[in-house]
Amino acid sequence: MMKINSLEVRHKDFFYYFEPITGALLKRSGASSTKKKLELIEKVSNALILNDEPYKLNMPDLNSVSNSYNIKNFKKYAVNLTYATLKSFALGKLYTSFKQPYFENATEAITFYRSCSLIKNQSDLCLPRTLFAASLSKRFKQNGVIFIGVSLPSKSMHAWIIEDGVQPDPFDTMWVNFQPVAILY
Amino acid sequence: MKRITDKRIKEPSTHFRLLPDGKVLHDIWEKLEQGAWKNLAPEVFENNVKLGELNRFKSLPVIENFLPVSPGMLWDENKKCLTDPFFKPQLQNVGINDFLNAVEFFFNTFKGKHIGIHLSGGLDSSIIIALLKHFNIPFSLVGMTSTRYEFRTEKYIQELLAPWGNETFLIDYEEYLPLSKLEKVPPHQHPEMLSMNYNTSRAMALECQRMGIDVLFTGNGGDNVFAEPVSANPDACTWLPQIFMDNWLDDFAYAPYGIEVASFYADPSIMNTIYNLRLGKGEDNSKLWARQFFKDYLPKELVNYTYCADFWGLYIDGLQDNSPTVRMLFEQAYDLTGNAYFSPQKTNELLNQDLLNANKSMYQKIESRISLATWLNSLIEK
Repeated sequence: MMKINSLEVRHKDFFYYFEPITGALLKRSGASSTKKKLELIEKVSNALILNDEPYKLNMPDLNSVSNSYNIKNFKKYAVNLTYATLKSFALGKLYTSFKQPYFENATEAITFYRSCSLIKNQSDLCLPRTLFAASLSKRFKQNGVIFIGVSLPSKSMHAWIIEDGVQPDPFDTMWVNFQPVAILY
Repeated sequence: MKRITDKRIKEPSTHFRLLPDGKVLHDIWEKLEQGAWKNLAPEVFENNVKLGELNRFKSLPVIENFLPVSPGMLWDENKKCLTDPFFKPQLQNVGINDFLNAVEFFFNTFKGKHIGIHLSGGLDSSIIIALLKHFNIPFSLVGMTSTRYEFRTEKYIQELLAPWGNETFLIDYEEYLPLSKLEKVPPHQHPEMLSMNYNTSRAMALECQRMGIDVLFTGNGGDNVFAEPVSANPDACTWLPQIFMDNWLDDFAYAPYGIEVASFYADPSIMNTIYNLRLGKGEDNSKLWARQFFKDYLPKELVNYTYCADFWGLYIDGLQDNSPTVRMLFEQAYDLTGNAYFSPQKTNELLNQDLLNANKSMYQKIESRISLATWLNSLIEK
């Protein structure tokens, strides 16, 4: 199962952090709760740097996306994962642990999910989409990270991936406005 | 209610039409002094705001039968209504040299003036900066800057381009948030949404004045000419250069300090060349075409990057920080007009919502009401 770390974010007099079981954003006043600096593996620290300096990211290569996948099983998986994630953050995360990678990279997986006509209102489905891509991308385990972020001072939240120096979703133009409060890898 | 004549600011960008016949009125100050402000239709203003800039010709009068006319709008004498004519491009075979010629011609019209550019850190104004540098024309840079996370790229680009100006000054956005100092907005004849940004623009204007800048170029209009689809049929062009400028702010925040604001992208030759260069291309919200076309002039960070920050955080914090003033303005508007639209009950309904929710329609309603109350406050003799 994917590991998860919560990151603390400050805005004015409050600290915001991610509750890893429920997936809720919590807020506190007072001092920072981070007692020691989080020790991060290389792929996570590299992705965090790219997140902070997004102009260093490479563009996703959409020309190499294949359309020749056996789609039936993955359509069903996409629908079930979406349902599970909308029910519960923990359930969605757990559901991804039973899948073996299939797509060459997250760009291919996200393109597949976005083309899945059974799933409506895609703009609200950033979390199941990233979980889908992370669980099925052959590159994610080696060099991918899911970010969950908040746009402060609103409570609006968003999820996205950085994998191999690329933010793989060409239709996601809003991720840059969200400050990471959790990382999954 | 009296206006303060000695503090009244000229509004050259606006005149009025009196409905239903469309008689031209150069201003409505006299009518306001006679009490026209009492015949206010706040719901109409709210609806006009909802229509948006592109449909502003459909706006209905908010004060009696006085319809404000912005620069570029025309009066249709037959239909007795306003129209917003689209730009009419001429089809031409053009290349980079034609574009550079158009740009050089535009810059030459400001010869001898101290040029300033709004250094926002975004693509559109950075292109202008890069072109001035290309032509070895001296310029200064001035902009609002923020350490907020979502503006990290804009801030980086600002730092990267700052040395390109003869003098550069960046103003901390946190000191001049939207909706700040609403009580200081000068007397104006008609409610205006841009009044919420008066304090920010005034800070820019003051800095321009201190730096001796005569004319300030902004990147306004870049979103239109670089992102909107370009039909192969020039008659289908939907560009409205007259909305590229924030005329109200130019009149009220910049002109009083001697600063002329000029829109680079509204120049007809520049627009025409970009139109022909992008002919037949579809919607391009990431401005990939512009990033590639100007790649030899721009920092590589802008060539490869396709995202931009939104301003929600600034507006939400602006409202939170200034809510006591906003409530005071609503109370005052209710005292003055007796209109239930400004009643304490309506104010509570509006401001007791979850203001941290970045909901466009909710904020449109809030901002419409604030603009109306700010306008009424500006008319009071103090």
